[in-house]
Amino acid sequence: MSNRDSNYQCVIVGSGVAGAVVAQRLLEADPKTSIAVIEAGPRVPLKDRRRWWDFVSTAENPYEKYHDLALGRENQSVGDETWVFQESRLMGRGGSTVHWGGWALRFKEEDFQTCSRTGRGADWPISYDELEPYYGLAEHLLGVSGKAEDSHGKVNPRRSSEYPLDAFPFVVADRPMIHAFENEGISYGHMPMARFRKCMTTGTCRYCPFGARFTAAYMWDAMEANPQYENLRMFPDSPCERLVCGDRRSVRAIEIRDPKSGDISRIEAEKFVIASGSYESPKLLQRSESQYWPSGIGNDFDLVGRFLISHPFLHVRAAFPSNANRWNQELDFPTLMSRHYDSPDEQPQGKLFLFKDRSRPSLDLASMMINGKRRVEINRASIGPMEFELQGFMEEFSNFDNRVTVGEGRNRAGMPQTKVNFSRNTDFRDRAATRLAIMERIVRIMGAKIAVSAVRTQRGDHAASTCRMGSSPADSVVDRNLQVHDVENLWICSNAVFPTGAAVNPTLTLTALATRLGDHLNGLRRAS
Amino acid sequence: MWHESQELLEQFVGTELQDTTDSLGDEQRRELWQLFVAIHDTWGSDAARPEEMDSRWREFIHEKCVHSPSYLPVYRLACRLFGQLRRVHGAQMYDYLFFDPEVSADPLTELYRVKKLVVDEFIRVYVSSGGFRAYGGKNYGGFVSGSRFRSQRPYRTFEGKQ
Repeated sequence: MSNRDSNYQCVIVGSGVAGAVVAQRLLEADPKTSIAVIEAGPRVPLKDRRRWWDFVSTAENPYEKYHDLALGRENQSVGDETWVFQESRLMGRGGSTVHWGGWALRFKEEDFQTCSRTGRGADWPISYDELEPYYGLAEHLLGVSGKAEDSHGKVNPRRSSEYPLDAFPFVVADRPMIHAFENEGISYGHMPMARFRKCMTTGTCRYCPFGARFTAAYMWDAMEANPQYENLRMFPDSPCERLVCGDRRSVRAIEIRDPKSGDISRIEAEKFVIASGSYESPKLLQRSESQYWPSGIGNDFDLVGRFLISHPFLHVRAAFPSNANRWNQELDFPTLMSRHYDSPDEQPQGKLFLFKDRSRPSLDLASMMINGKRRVEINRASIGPMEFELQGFMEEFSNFDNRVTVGEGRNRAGMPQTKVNFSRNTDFRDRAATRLAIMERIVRIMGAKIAVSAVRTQRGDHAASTCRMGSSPADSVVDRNLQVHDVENLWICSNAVFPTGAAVNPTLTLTALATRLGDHLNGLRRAS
Repeated sequence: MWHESQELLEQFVGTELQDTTDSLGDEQRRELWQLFVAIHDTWGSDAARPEEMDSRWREFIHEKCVHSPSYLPVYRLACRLFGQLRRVHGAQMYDYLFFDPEVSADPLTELYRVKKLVVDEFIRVYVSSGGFRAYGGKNYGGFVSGSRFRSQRPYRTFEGKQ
């Protein structure tokens, strides 16, 4: 056991967007703040031309070694529904924003009142109005391109600031779906995208050669290069073993395990912010057993890791018989979305957020050439059947039995593996069928022939609610300020604190919460 | 499927992976460029000429040669192999490389590896450098289409009522 550069004012576990925003807020308020950032994964090379060319010329995933391995090789899924870990998060400096799609949507007002409105799930202890100013700050931080008004001229959710960047225009291949929306009176809009400031529409968003898509790694680049922030330290390749309590009301240190030697070192601090996502945050609390917290920190009521949710992914694939104008998506992200069914009326069935597939219509010209197709065959294919997909995220209600716990063995980054016990709610299939019926109707109006209409295997990309926020330890793990109940110097900042997952992507809401937490911590410091 | 290219590369060049000097000779560059032009002649059109893609192709070759794992040994072997194939197939050499199933039949052969690591990668670079235009569209994965600002419209758009 050794001590590493103790003692810090703040330890942040996890270098994703939540950890980066909290650190930035603290350092902006006091540049001398001493912060240790503990990241289990390595630094991921970004804006690297060779890696970009490798991606372009081989079409192979540039982040494979930072992802979870496939089930059977890593992690355990033990519920009735298979839970897919692979490619659903990224373990490295910058966290999952290194590989994310950049969709940056606000939750709506009713998403904060799910239980009151439906009798299911939980309410948030904060309101949309309380978070609204932070949403604006988050949109500016991520560089979100968007348009506030939908096609009906409505702005929902209401907002006090404009998007910092103009929306990306619709691609021409959005046209048939837009016409179907209009025929049905369905409102639609532009997908808000965190494409930072200099998107060159390379179509290789997963590995942007220019750093145009926001990732928290660029925030760390700026902070680590700032000479004023001389007390900021980043510890990559440093999986956390457990938190060490000084007494029941405070954490004194964090233990880090060297992934190669297995040696344990300890870092002490005044405050601890766990920003490790919806798997690692509860697992760290669970592992931190002591005489003060025999079941793990904050786990006296056996709630840590429970209520796991993510978005069920619905898709309806269809085809037109021909593609006379040779349309293809031309971008690596969707431009068209609809929040028409992401509404209070739909909440009891599960709100539905619709978007056009980011990758269809498409024709993989290079693969056809590589496979020996002649020019005439490729020409024929380019005007042949045009496939597209209407996709949707459905809101799901949390279930006490769906849970994240510590799994068997360690993963490639040296962290304990993850076990997920996840089963669908009993009425899920019936509710999902009503959602798919909506989507099929839209596709039929387009005049296309449906080939597939289904719910995909559950992925963990938007995993949430495993340390949910609430008013008391009997029903939640953290309070409205994200502080673990009854522990004065420990906060959780991840999707884990979401009481509900709404129907849209979580990252903007997480960024808003992290901004708010940074301000809260600065307020505590001023008060003391 | 993970990193088939990398696995092939490692099997292929063995200890030569550490070679990070960009030292392709002029003749070897010409041979490789001829392959790129042949891809254009086979599948392309005047909508995008290979001369317009020259700087991108050169950057691609440079990056592949000077950074690890280096493709230098692969490119050198490809040039030798093309010389041999030209003696057998003459003007039909590229047809053989692009369309004959025999080329991809045996993963243990040098020909298979050169097809995967050189020919196929050049095809992807060609298509993403503008070759896609022969089949429609203003933008394609890997093509640097330009700024997103309204005046430039780097992809085909639908303005609609929005």
